This record gives sequence, structure tokens and C-alpha cells, in this order.
Amino acid sequence: MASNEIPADVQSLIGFTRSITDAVTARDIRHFAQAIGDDDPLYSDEQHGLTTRYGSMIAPPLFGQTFAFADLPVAEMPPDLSPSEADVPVPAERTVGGSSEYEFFQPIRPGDVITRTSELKSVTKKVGSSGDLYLVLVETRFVNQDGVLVAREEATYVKK
Amino acid sequence: MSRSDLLDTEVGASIGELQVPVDTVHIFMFSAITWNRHLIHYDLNQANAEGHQSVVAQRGLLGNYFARLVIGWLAGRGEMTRLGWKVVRSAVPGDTLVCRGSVVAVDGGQVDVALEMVNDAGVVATGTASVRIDTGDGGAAAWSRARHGTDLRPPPSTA
Repeated sequence: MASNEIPADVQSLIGFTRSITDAVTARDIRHFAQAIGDDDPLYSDEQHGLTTRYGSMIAPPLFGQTFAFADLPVAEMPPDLSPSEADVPVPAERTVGGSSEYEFFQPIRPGDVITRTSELKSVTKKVGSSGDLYLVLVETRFVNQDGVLVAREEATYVKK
Repeated sequence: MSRSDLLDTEVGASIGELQVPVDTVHIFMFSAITWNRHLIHYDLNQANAEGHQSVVAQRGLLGNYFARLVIGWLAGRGEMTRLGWKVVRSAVPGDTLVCRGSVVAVDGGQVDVALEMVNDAGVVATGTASVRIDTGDGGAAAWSRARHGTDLRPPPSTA
């Protein structure tokens, strides 16, 4: 295998998708806002939301992260419990989050029903100073109950 | 700063600063709400075995700090339409993260900003974001309707 080649069993996974649909609750939004340390009442107070430009409580921009990882049983996850979205059979022992690119099209609100679909877009091998790296690119699309794309992410995981 | 001031912003202008202490409580809460069970975020032995000095803050959590900085600067005068960031160094409990940004491009009602997050050791993450600022000339309303299906601009001031 040349230095920049990806094993065939990995290439065969390109295009693999996984979808799940869940409802958004005000409680989830409050918990997310608390986790990111954001005390904006827009993310916690439904009455306050009514007075804002949005006309309701909304979620912080990156709230889609709550849907980003598959809720598989632990037994079906990699040994280090890293995101299954980046679980491709390359010769690497560690996984770290590398980068994200989000586009935002519409706020997420309590009561929305979001279908999240992730797709393995590519696996790229790089030769780094400390050995080979594998960049795993995953696209995640977040679509609401009206069929509207509310956000899209391209995340790159680094496996080394 | 008013909306019109924001429209007059110049390349190189600062968008302010956000300081965030990193602690295990928020790392735990973020893993819980995102169902991120990766061991390096809560298992110290595993984190050490992988070369980290402690459990590490999630890439996603760091992105939210950039989002908070941009949204705070925008202060309801428009919408953030894009945010990208790259982690170059681990952030661990005990760190104080300083997030800063500056304007790199202004094109009508769109402003692009460059972002940087540092701790005592150096740069933790870099990023970029784009925002669409209300122009007050109807353009933002049309954009908002097209993008959101409704006009999300604030009602006209009655003051």
C-alpha cells in the first residue's frame, strides 16, 4: 500500500449514513446552555423568548451537537468510546476532534423534531512528524419537522 | 454600539474578548448533554495514556465559546450564519481560555471575523465566522425570510 492509500475496506465505508429523529425539549436546551456556560435567558426562559425577535425561546447555535453522536449501546462502540461516526478501521490508536465547520439556516426551538443524518464523506491519510494521521470527514445534516435544513456540519476527526 | 455602527465596522476592528475557565463540571455536563462518551473527557488514566495532561475539553465545547463571543458581539443585530474552528492544543481543567476575534472582511451586511482562543501555553483553537447584519433597508428582511421562512428582525423601535 502506498503511503497515501486508504485500505479498501475503509474506502467501502465512504457514503455510509446513519439517521435518527428526536424531539427537542426546553429542558434539553436549558441543559445545553448550562453546559456551555451561557446564561442568556433566550435559551432558558420561554416567556422571555416571546418578547424577542424570535418570538419564542430558541436553542444556542451549536445545539445540533446534542444530536451529533449516535446513541449506540457501549458494546457497539469503539474501545475508547470515541464517536462511532469516526469509527473506521485504520491503524490508529487515538481519536481526537480536529475541526468543525457549521452553517446555520434557522434556529432550533422547543417542540422541533430534528432528523439528524450523518454521512462518512472521506478518509484521508497524512504523514505527520509523529507518524501517520488519518483525517475522517463526517457531514451531519439537521432537518426539522417541516423538512427544512436548519444546520449542517462538516467535522474532521483525527486518528493517529 | 448600534446596528448602524456595526454596519460601519472596519477590517481589523476587535469584536471583544471572552474569558472562560475550564473545569471538570462543564466538561462533564457537555459530555452528558451531547452523549459524548469518549473516555478522554472524563477518565484521567485514559487521558494520560493518550498523552494528555488531564481530561480534555471537547472540540464541540470550545466551539461554543467562539459562538458565545460572536453572538455577544452581535447583540441581536443580525444572525451568525457560519462558524468554523480547529483545535490545535488540548484545553484542560484549570485553564483559563481567552477568546478574541477581529473583523477580516465587510461586504454590505455580511461581516467575516477571525477567531483565536488561547491559554497560558499558547493557541488552543482558531476559527472564522460569518454574520449577516441587519441593514435596515429591507435587504435583511428579505434575507431573513428566505433563510428562516419569516422575518426575524427585531420590531422597529418606538423610542
